[in-house]
Amino acid sequence: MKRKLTPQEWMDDILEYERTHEIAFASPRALLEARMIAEMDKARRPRRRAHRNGVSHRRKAVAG
Amino acid sequence: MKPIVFHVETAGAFRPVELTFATESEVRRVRAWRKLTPATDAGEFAGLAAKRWFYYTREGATVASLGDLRAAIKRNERAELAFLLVASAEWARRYRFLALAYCRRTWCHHLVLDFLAVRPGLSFAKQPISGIGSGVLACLMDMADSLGMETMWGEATASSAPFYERVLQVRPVKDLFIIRREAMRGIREFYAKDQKTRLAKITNQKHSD
Repeated sequence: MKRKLTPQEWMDDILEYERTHEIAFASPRALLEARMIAEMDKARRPRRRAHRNGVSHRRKAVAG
Repeated sequence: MKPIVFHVETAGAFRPVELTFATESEVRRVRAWRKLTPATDAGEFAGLAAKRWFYYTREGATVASLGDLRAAIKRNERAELAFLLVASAEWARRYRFLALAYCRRTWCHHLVLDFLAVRPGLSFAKQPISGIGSGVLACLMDMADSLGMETMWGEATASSAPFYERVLQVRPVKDLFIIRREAMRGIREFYAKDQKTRLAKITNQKHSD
């Protein structure tokens, strides 16, 4: 059976983990929902600059 | 509203970090993490958590303080409510926010942790700052207890499971982690004992210097 850690051993282990790993966690369901909201927002946002006054913006030519 | 405070050890001292409910302007600031370079998961999650918070705010389903949360539950005990908590520290003001946690109070009075992110690359006096993720989690357990919640839970992934395994001392953690009230109390006691020991150690060191 594994020995139970003391509070200090427990925290040392956690701190070592936090030092060496990015703490950035998301629940997959929450992430999916947030991405859907972001897509909905994007679709709803008016494209204000596309054809303002009927004049389309000229794009700079990119050197090939 | 009084912030929830925990301590982190950095540059040879024990320093306080405050955890508060985010208001709209604070959520906007957190959202700016998505522009940090290099791009990180924390940046992406901060942007998405903020997006979700604004969406639920339009629906009237977010709260911006513990008082608001209690009042909303009093009005409707089956209310589903979301909130974003942000961690900040006076001594690390250049970062504005050190971490975020997006949580939900479910209809049956449980606490769900949806996003937990610590700003990448944090340092103070050229020393790393660690213990923020576990500090936020310990505060969430305090809050759940103070609200009389029986359970806190969340979905784990391949990258988050090792962290939750360490904090909960449960192996293996799979798709879900569920922390019941007894376990929350045990973890908080461990956390408090450790903080006391570390604080005493640092204080003794300072006296002997």
